[in-house]
Amino acid sequence: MSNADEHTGLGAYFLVYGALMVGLLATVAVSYVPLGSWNLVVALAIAFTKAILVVLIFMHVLNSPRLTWIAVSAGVIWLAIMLSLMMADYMTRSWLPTRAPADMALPSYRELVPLSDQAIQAHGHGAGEASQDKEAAHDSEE
Amino acid sequence: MSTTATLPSATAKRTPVVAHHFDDWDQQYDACVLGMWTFLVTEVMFFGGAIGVYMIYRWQYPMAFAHASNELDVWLGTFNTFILLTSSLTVALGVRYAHTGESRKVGWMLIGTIFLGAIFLGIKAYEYYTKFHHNIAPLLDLPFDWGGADPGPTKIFFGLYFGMTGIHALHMIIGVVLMAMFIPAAFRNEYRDGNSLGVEVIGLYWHFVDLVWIFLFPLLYLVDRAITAPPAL
Amino acid sequence: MSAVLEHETAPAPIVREPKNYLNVAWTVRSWLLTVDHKRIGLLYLAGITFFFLLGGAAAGIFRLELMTPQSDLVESETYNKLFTLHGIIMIFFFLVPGIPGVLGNFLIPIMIGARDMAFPKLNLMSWYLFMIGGIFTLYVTVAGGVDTGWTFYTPYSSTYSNTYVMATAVGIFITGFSSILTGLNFIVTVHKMRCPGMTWFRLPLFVWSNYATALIMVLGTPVLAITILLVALERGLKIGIFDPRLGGDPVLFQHLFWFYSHPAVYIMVLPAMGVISELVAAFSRNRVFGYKLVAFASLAIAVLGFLVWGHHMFVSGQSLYAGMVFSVLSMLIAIPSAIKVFNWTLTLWRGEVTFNTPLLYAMGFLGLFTIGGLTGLFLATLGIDVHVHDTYFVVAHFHYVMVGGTVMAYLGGIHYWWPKMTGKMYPEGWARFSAVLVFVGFNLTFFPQFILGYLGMPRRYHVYDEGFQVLNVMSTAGASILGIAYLFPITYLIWSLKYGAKAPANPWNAVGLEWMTSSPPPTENFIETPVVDFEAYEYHRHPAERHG
Repeated sequence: MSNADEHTGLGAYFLVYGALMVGLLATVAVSYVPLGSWNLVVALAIAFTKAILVVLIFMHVLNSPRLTWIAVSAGVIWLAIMLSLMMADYMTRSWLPTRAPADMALPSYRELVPLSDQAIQAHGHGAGEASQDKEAAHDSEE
Repeated sequence: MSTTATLPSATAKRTPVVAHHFDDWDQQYDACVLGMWTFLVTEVMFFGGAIGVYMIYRWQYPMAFAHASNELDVWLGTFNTFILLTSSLTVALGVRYAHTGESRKVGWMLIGTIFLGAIFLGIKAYEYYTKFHHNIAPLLDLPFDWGGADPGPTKIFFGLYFGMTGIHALHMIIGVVLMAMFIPAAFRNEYRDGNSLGVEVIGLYWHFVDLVWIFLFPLLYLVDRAITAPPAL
Repeated sequence: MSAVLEHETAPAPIVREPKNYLNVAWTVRSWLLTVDHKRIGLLYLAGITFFFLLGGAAAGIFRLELMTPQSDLVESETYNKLFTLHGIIMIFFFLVPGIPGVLGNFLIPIMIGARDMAFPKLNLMSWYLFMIGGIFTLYVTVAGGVDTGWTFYTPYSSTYSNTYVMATAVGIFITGFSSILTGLNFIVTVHKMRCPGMTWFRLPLFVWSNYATALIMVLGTPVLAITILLVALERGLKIGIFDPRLGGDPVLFQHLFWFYSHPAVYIMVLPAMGVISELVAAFSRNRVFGYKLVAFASLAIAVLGFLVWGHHMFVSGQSLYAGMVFSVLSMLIAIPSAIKVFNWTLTLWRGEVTFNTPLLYAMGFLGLFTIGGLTGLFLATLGIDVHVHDTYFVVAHFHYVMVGGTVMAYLGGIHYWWPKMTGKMYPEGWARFSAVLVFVGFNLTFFPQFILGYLGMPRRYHVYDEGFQVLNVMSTAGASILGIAYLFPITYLIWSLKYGAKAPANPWNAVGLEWMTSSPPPTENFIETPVVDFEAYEYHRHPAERHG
């Protein structure tokens, strides 16, 4: 970088500006094309391209010392850490079966300790069934 | 060398005043630029938290977010993006003129940037107004008229829309005020020696505000324009 | 040590006091508008000591309440406000700004041979932001308190609590910016302000650990800021971000909150580790064993600390698979932490150890931090955490790390550098006595809490089963001892300002740039910029390395 190129290089700014405009038109246009979930991917890809252009040229990172590169990457990496680990929770929540499969179901308390004949007589047959139903409901809640 | 925009090395004809605790100008210059970059990293994380919230809720309520997003005015958004990208160009040119010592041009570039920033904020204000007008501003128990399904998540979307664009607009206002403080110096021809540090630092800040919008615009306005069914993620 | 005693007893020679940063000006204005990092460090010392006493007083009251199983001293709402106040003040106004604000501000520029921080005015602004945040918290305390716990979990904080949540949130938001600016200043200072010859691997480990701390401050604190802002928007403007009635997810709040607040515990403990490195080396007259490992362990803790926040949410409805990942990652933190503990122990090995007060505190740190760290592994284990979650086991664990670790190191550091900061020696006998008293009081307070938690006593309740009373009485008794033990240093350190023996430039015969300038240092730290041509901790080579 000598004094000779002090007054050159303006072209690069306008070049980047042109590219940003193209990107802007492209992202608006593509957003109306139904691509399913790829709409998001394309939009973010264009946004990242625009961002990289701004960071490298407008913000002069391209010609900056290594430390600036490290700072920029630290911001991106830490953001990625936060978003990906947060998403890891939400994405995997539905993986867990909400109910155990039938062959894994543990025997209920009443199956292990059946009511004595006296108890059945005392409470009546119907009452015993009702309480068993209640138990079943309780189990499924757990 | 004109393919990449390199800043010419600050060929200060007169060395600027170095603060007492720095050894020389280079040290002061490096320290200030690194300080600004570090600050921008904190800003990335600041906006990143809000983007994280958006990400999770969009994942949970794709249809509600798609319908709500379609309520935003995509043409005003596009025009505003155009304005903000242009302001990024003007501020980049301003920094460059500060380097080459063309002080008055710096002043004009800053005025241009502030003008564009004001247009952006005006359009933003109009957009806010229409939201209030159509009763889809979920603030302060105002009436929320939403004919479609899922009014709850829709409210969250508009809450995030106001929150994120509001914080972004606040950053722009701060940037405009800071830039205005450099204009008198520019017209007093104080950058004739290429002492561009102040302009350069505020320029970085403005570019960052632009960067945030580069992501907010597609996320809030665009990504669900074509979606008719829930995304098959 | 003999050198120390000599200086204590020798009559002070009558010479005209040379100009230093303390006697250069005496006006209040010269303090409140100072940009000298050393004076700002002392301003932090004043603010932090005040908040420490306030937070300690809150703890004292609820510890008294917990002497009996019934509710007698305070009722439940007051109790909730007391532990919330204790948590908020101790974390945001003592532990986070404590060592970086006082010792970091004072020492980092001197240790790297700079004249000041990179941004002195920003440094002063950090202190003002800290104090303004503190004033909000004081206002909350006086006006009627806040009862959400320091964690501000939604929807309680955003919707239901009718206490002063907003004012507290504003206070913490502002203090957060103080923390961010301090971190920014540290990073730029360490990168750009080192004197000639001061390479990265000649930096004292205190600088390394504060640098790692600064990284966390810069990368983590903004997320706390946006989280608090979102809660404030929800509470103030009724924008429902985390509101379950709209389909919002309170667990999302917890994710964002812990993304900062777990790394924040490393903001609290990393600077303490840096202090311990200095103390152990100086009082065993050995090089820190495995200097580079200790330095990189600081960075490793800073990075890994960001990957483990989910272990606070094992029973909150977080996905089990995410829980497993977070559990495994949490275990990894033990590796750099253990590296440090082993290396400090090896530094002491075959050293010429003198048991001065700073080393007593450092030894306390080593033992207590090890207990605190290992019980952290219990808690990181998914299955065990389900049982001891939200019990006193957790309370005991983090007090072993935070009080047994950070406060011990803070006190040790204050004693070690007190001669440098004030130019006066503290009374060694009293100091040793209170160091032992702190250790005893601390263990009596918090060890019973491990047992209480293991037996199942939940935290944050003011009435409890009668079977827990004996252990609670022990804990309260310990807290009284601890409270008195903390008053000793405050008293004799203030006393020493007037009556203490005059400190020489290097009372401990230690190495490091801070001991090569006068006590107290001149305003710009050194008469002329130092040039470093020696390694860190050049006492003599470490015996373990000699034998290869």
